[in-house]
Parts: sequence; structure tokens; C-alpha cells
Amino acid sequence: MYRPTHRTPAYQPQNRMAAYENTIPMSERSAQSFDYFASVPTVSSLAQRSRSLGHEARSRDYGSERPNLVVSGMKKFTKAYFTGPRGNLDLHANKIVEKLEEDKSLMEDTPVSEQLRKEALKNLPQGLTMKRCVKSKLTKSVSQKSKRKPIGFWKRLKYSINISFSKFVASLKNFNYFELWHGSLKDIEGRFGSGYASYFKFLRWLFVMNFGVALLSLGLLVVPQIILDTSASNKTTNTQSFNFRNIFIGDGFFIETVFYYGHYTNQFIEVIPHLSFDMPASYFSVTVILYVLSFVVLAVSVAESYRRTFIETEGGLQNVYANRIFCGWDYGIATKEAAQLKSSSIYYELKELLSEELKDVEDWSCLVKFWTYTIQVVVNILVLVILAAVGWMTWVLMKKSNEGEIAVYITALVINIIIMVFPSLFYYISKHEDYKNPRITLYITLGRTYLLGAVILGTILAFWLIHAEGKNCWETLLAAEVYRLIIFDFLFSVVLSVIVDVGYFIGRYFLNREPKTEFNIAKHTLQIIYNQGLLWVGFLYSPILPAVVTLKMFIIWYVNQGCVRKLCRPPKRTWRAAQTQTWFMMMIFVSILLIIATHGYALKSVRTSQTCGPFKHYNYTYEIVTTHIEDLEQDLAWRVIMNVTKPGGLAFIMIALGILVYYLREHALANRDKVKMLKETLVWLAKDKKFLVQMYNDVTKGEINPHLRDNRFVDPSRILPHEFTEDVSSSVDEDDFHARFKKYS
Amino acid sequence: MGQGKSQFSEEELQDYQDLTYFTKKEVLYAHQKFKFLAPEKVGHNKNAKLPMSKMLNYPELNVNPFGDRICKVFSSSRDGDCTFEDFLDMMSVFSENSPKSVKAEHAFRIFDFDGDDMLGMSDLKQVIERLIGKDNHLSEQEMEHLIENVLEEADLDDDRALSFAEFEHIINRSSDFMNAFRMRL
Repeated sequence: MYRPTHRTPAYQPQNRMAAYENTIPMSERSAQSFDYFASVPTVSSLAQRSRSLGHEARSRDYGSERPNLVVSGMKKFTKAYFTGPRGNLDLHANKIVEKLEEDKSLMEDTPVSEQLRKEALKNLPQGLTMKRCVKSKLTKSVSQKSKRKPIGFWKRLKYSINISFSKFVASLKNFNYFELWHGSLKDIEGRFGSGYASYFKFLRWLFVMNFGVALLSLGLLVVPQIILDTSASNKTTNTQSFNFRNIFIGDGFFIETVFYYGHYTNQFIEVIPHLSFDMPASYFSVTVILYVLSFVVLAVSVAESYRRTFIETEGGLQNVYANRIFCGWDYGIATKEAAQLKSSSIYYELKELLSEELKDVEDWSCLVKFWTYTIQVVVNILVLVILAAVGWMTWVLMKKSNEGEIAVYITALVINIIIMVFPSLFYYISKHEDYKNPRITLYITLGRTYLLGAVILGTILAFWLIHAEGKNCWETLLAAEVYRLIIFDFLFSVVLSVIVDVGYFIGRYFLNREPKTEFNIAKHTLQIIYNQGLLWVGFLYSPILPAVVTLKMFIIWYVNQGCVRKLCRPPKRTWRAAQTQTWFMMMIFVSILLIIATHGYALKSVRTSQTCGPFKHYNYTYEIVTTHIEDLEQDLAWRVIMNVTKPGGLAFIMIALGILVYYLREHALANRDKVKMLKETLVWLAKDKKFLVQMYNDVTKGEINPHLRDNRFVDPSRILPHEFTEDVSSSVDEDDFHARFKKYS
Repeated sequence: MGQGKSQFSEEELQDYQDLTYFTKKEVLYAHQKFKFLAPEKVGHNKNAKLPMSKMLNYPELNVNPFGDRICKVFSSSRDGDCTFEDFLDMMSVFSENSPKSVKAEHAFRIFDFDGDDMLGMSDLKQVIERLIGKDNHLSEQEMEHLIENVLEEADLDDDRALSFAEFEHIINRSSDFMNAFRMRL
């Protein structure tokens, strides 16, 4: 058994320092994702460092303004002192202060430096008591020394912006005491683990976003219209009386309310004299801006989530064992039951991994391979056919749905039944496809279910855009259609599914089986994604829709939470939340991208209704923009914009973006290769070191190996491969070796 | 909250806010939780030292296989007994806002049972044993195989033990770590 020689006491202090030296590149890595690989330490550099490390080791220049450098520097320092024998608090605090004082940028009596100090202290891996002691000492010494050193204007500006921003964030955090639904989330996380919690967090995130959109659209569109409706001069009466079933189909009475596009005025609202409100302009800009805003928010979150899970971690899937062991436990778990389940789930996963490894890679015969691939191809074609059929059916139903109220019900019912039943069907199909990995099976099912929703939404949107002309106020009809689907979706996926779940629970209970089932995260997440898609399709023509959806999500939150608590048990298998969540985010991002593109087309090329809505004076909605900017035509900025948006300009921008993306992608690939190479080098260097240590050993003992006496000393390539892996320590008395080593070094 | 507030001066709260990833209100909330573990003792002295057995009554620590290790790592006297400041520090490291590097640092110390600044074979073995729970057992051979695999993935310089740098390397590559190494206050 080879025992690493450098872990023995004589080496330890140096080695420990060296190990922490390594933490610099490691911890900086997250900050600079692109050039970090260059700084992966090699063993030789490690050895070099440990040589130069004495007490002067910390003389590295921390004058740099970057706080994380300062922090990692200090981290190393304090670790070196405090993992050793525990002395008294004051003494250690003094030492830390001494070291911190060496860094000029931390010791100035300016707010910037104070902020840096705070940051540095915060990230110090020390107990809080120690930190406070250090902090008070530092403050004292700063006020004593207090000599000002000027810093550049830009730097000062940058820092002061940073500081005021972080102060602002802190005050904001103080303001909203805890995050929304903190208690329930904690409870779910504690009892069921972070997998379920990730669904609820996703739901909460969408809820908050929709809530914001709802507030803006209510405030800027609905309320002004209501004011107009109720003001004496314009009093209008609804020609249709309210009927209970209107709530479900969203027609009749609702057609002439603020629910839909058709009701909004195309005039200026001037309730208060001399203060007019341009409804068409407001309608256009508010909806467009909200779409763009949602798009930007989503794009940022997707990019962020993608970066975290795929770029920084290189896909994160290579270190399966280490990941299971070091990141396996869910620290949020707080109940015995969940903890036991977690333990056994880790146990079974490890067992599974081991057995997979031990089992020889199944050598599928050609025939079996061919058979599986054929099945997969056939099934995929089948699924595409099914999707096409669903699209066609939706189209037919939409056509028929103008023929009376019953048809309307049937359309909504059929669509919702499809959405409810087909995912299970897809799941069933995918089980028989023999994909190698359960993860692939899951992703494929998710993808198909997503496509199903997309096909249905796409068909509806396409139907209305194509049949727009000749319909009376098609915008309102489209919005009513979407509203209906949202309500029916609520009835099916919330009310009905709860009833089914409860029935199932009771049934199993009386059959004396384990009544609790697992909560299907994927299904429920896709359901809210579909829901969100509906909202985006309809929002342009129904400003009140965000409010409806927000309310719906609010109810879904409580219903699903109740379901999870009462009817579900913790999952048996680990749900890889981070990655799946990124996929969900991407799906939702693709949805909004497609929907915005379609709406863009509608605004530009589909004729508006001439009898209703804020844009009835225009042939096409976008004309509102052109009329408003005709005044601006003389403007220089305008001319610049016009030139940039010419095909040539656009093409140039596209090409530039393309090149940029290509460059970044290549960069990432190159880095990956570099990492691979460096890893190999590391292993080889380690072997070199082993070899050299043995040499050294032999030479100091004066027992030069007769085999080595020949010129292999000079020519390492002549050493046989098996000598690399030869056990070093077995042939050497370790203590003896270290005594000698000390003497020589 | 009124009760809690009276126990801290504004200055102390400011200190805590500056030195942890919490806001003042969260600090007070944390103190309530701390007080809940031993109402009498903490009522008298807000920074009382609670023995590890009391600390392990905290639900998350109670069911955590590394509960005692966590207490020891965060305890300023290194024996597992924690003052409020130690507790606050613990919660701050486990909070959502603390960065990966800080979390990794502490995770390493939690897993380093023998305190030699390396995760050796024995450390890994203990980690695995604790993870799979008392009721489940891996055979000697399976355990060896498992450790072998972990080392193969993580041990870059082939010294049969993981240094902090190697450990952090793994953590940086894991998308789940930030989710897993977290307790809600």
C-alpha cells in the first residue's frame, strides 16, 4: 500500500500552506469562468510554492482592488493559523489584524475601504466571535492610522455606486421581512427534500412575475378604461346580462367589459380637464413593453441558470460518485421520515451505480441494436403523427366552435382531455422504447409533452390569425378562447386532478396499501408552463388575463401544497433539480420567443378589426407607431435608427452576434481540451514526483540502486513503466527519511 | 420580535448584519430559533453556550448524519458546544446567499473527521457510512470499490487523499451542491 509521504508531520505545515495556496485559483474560478483553467496548479508549481512559503509567504501583493483576491488571501492566512492548536481568541485576532493591516487598500478610512473590509471579514472562514473581535480591532487601528490616499475618480464612482446599491438591496431585504411563502417552502423542503421545493419555487417565481405584469396592466390599462366607463359623460350599459356560465366560457356579458380588447376605447380619455390619456398609445406601449420585459427577465434567468448548471460545471455529470457522496445529503431535510428515505435513496443509488459498473457493459448484438433503434424511430414518427393529428383536430374543432354554445364547450373539453391524457400516454410509450438512461427517457417524455402544448397553442393562434378577416372583432374572440382554455385547464388540472388524487388515496387506503404516492414534479411543472404559454398568447388582447392567471397560480400554490402535504410521500429517487430546472426554464423561454414572434407578425401584417378596439382607426396595429414617429422623422436619432434597421445593418448586427457566439463557443471547447490535458499532466507529474522522491531517498541513504547506477539517471525514458507505480514507502523507513530530509533541506 | 430586540444593542445587530449573510431582522429571527432550543438559559444570557446535545435538537441538525460534525466545525471552542454567535455563523454559511467558496470550505471541514486537512480513505469511509444510514450496509468490497471510484474521479495528484483544492474542484463542477448544502432559517 502506498502511503503518501508528504502527509507526514515533517511536511505538513508546508504542504498545508501549499494546499491553501491552491485555493486562490480555485475560488477565483467562479468569478472568471473563461480564463481560469490556465491557473490550475500543477504539482511542480505546488512544490515551488511550498518552498517559498515561510512566514513571508503572504507577501504576495494584495494591493489589487478586487475584494475576492483579498479575501482568498486572508482565507489562506487565517486557515494556516487556526487549524493548528487553538490559542486564545485575542492573540489570534491580533495576528489576523496584523496581516490585514499589511493590505493598504483595506486600511483606508474611506467608505470604499470599509466596504472592502466588510466583504473580506464576511468571507473569512472564522467563527463569528472571532470576526467581531477582529472587526473592532481593525476599526480602532484604522481610525488611528487614518491616512488618506487618493483613489481615482472612476474607481470611487464605481465603488460608491456599488455601495449604495448594496445598501439599497439590504434595505429592500429588511423591508420585505422574509421571502414570500417562506414558511411553507421551508416546511416542504424539510419534509420532502429540495426536489419538491424546486417545483414550488418555480411556481412562486412565475407567480411573482405575473403579479407584477398584472399590476402594471391593471393600473395603466384597465383602471383608466373603468374610469372612462363610469364617468358620467360616457356612461355605457352592457347590452348583455350576466349569466353564471359566462364565467366559464368568458363570452356574453364579458365581451363588453374591460376583459377584452374590443371594449377598449380608441380615444383620449379626458376625465380630469386638461389631462388626457391616450388609450391606443398606452395600450400599445404597455403591452409591448410588458412582453419585452418578461422576455428580458426570462432571457437573463435562462442564461444565468444555464451558466450555473452547464457551463461552470461542464455538464456536471462526470463525477457521479463524488457528487453522490459530497453533495448527496440534502441539508434542508428536517424530519426523521424524510431523512430515512434520503439515506436509503442514497444507498440504493450507490448500489445501483456499483452494480452497473461491475456488470460488464452489455454487449448488444447487432440485431438487438437494430431492433431497438427501429422501435425508437418508429415511435418517434408515431408521436409526430399523433401531434399532427392533435393539431388537425384542434383546427377542426376551432372551425366548428362558431356554430353554437355546445360546440364551444366541446372544443374546450376535448383540448383539455388531450392535455390531461396524452402525457401519461407518452410516458407509457417511452417506457417501452428501451432508452439506455432513465434520464433520457424523462427528457424525451418532457419534450413530447411540451410539443403537445405547443402544437395546440400554435394551432389556435394560427387559426385566428388566418381567419381574422371577415370576423367581427377577432381579437376579442381569440382572447375569449384563451380565457376559456385557462379556466377549463384550471377545472381539469386542479379541481379534477385533486378529486382523482383524493379518490386514489382513499381507494388505496381501504385496500390497505401504502396510500401516499409521489408528487409528479415534471407533470405539474409542464402544466404551469402550458398555463404561462396561454397567458402570453392571450395577454395582447386581454389586459385582465395576467390578473386571472395570477389568481389561478395563487390557488394552484395552495392546492398543490395541500396535496403534497397530505397525499404525498418524499421521493424515492433523487430529483436532479438544478439541471431539470434549467430545461424547464429553456422551455418557457422558447415559448415566449415563439409567441412574441407570432404576435409581432400579427401586429405588422394582420388587419385589425374595424369595429372595435383601440386600434380600429388603423389598418394594422403597427401604424400607431409610424404615425407617432412621423413627427420625429427630422430627428437625427431617428435617421440613425432607420439606417441601422435597413437590411444591410441588420445583417451586419446578426453576423457580428453570430461571430461572437461562435467565438465564445470555441473558447469554451478549447478550455475543455485544455483541462483534459492539464489533468493528464497532473497525474504524470505526480508520478514524476514519486519517482524523484525515491531517487532522492536512495541517494541520501547512500544505497544507490545497482539498477540505477547506469545512465538511466540521465535518461529517464529508459526507465521501465512498472517502476513508476512501484511502492515507495515500503522500501524506506519513513521517519528516517524525514529526519534526513530535514537535515538536507 | 420585541423581546428579541431588547436583548441586542443596535451596534451588535449592525455588526451581525455586516459579518453574516443576514439582515438584522433575520438575525433576530435566528436568535428566536436559538432561544427555542433552551428558553431558560438563553433568556438569561443571550449568548449562552449550549451543549452539543441541546444543539442537536435543532430539527435539521437532528436528522442530519453529520449533525455532530457541523456543531464541532462551527463551535468556537471546537467541542461542539455553540454560543449564539456560533449558531448564527452556522446559519449564515448554510443560507442561500453565502457563496460557493465559503460553503465548500465548511463542507470540507465537516467531512474531514480526523482533522488532517485531507480527506483520506478513512474520512471517505465514514462519510459514506453516515450517508447511507445505520440500517443499510455495504460490504467491505463494495465500500472499497466505491472509495476507489471517488478517488479516481477526484484525486488529481494520485496521493490517495483529497486535498481542499481537489475537493473544491469537485464542488465547483457540481450543479447540485448549492441546492443541497443549504438550510432555510
